[in-house]
Amino acid sequence: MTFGELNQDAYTLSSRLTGVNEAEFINLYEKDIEIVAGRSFTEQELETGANVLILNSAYDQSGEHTPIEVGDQLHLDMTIYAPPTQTEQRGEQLYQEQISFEVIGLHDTLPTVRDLAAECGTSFGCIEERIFMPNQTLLSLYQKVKTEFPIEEKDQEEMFGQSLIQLGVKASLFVLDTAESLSIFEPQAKEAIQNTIHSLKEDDLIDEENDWMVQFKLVTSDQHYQSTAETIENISLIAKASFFGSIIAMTSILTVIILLFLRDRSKEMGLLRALGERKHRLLGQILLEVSIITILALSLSLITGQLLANQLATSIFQTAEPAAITSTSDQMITTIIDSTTIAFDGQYVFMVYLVGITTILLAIIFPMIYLLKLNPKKILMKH
Amino acid sequence: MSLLKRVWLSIIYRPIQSLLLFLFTLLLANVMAGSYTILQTTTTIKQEIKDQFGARVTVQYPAFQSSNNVSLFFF
Repeated sequence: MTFGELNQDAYTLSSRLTGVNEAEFINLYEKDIEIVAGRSFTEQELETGANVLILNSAYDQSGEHTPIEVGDQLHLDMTIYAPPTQTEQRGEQLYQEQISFEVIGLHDTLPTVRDLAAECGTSFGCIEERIFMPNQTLLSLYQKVKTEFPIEEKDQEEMFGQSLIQLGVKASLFVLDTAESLSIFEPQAKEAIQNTIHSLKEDDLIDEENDWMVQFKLVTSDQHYQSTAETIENISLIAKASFFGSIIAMTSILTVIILLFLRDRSKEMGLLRALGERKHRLLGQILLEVSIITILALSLSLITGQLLANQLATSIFQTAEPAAITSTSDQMITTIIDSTTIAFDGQYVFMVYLVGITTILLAIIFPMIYLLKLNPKKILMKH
Repeated sequence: MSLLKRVWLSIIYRPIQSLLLFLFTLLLANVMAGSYTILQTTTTIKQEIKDQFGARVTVQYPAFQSSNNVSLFFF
């Protein structure tokens, strides 16, 4: 199978070549693509720089609608042309060599990134158009050009107006063992980047014109999380405010209600005290009365509260789902939210009782003080 | 009269007061339980999202993202 007459221009094709150094390379790891047939690279292929590649399953070389299969050999003509002239779009052919590659796998972009027009904006082309090969293979191609065409880069620039070949690292992915390591790694990486920029500037390799070339972008999964899960964070904040707000409201409202009820019963309290009832027994009676009623209410609220949360959660979490799925992160968040169920577990029961009973005990403090200050003589004289 | 019996009689002889206390507690406890459930669920979702993102750092190199200087031609 030969590439022959490609319907895309050569520049686009060459820029699609992407070197990788791991079997589970960055686009697989980030689930931008998946291998739909064949396999990924072996350690040996990566180390030795074997002529193997993984390309898109829908790749249509030369527009002949001939499906590419795993195990096919692709023959690529590596050609170097002289710079274009005013009359010719392409200059004289300086060098050509045919290199064969074995297709070891076919990839497909996952639905979430398939329609991502933004991804196609860079010169590296859309993810779905990328042709992956081991880094070593790409480097050996680079070396081959350098050997066959041994002209210094600056001379190439003079001849062609640009260097003939430019190999570069597009992105590096660092996978840390724990999330806690992020806070240690991030400042160190930033410092290393700053040092690199500083030394490049010292060596006059960077000036104002090409300063943009060292604007490294460092993205941690934590930053990624902050930007994608903003709505979840907001819901969490509102739920927290509502939780603590309800505790404060419950304490103050119950305090007032119990106080009012006790004031209505001041005559009964005064009589009981006049008959010789001890204060601690009266306190115990009120505490028991309030506790029995409120614990019953708390127990019922375990079920109704859960039902209420279930009803609310459906609409609340729908707002947290991304309006349109434009990335794998959006897809991931949607899947997580959709699969999350509201749990009625021991922790929930324990927390509701713990917080509820503490609140009731707090609410009963003032009524207790009121009860302790009761003077039976005054009460009986009043009534 | 035992304390427990007195407590019980006090509750049932003032049904309106007891019912009011019960309803207010139920209402506020519902808000509390509901918001706690939502808080617990968001915590689970947040943790799951964080776990899925993992502990990763990506360094992107702008020079090669917007470069249009690639001149190795393959046909």
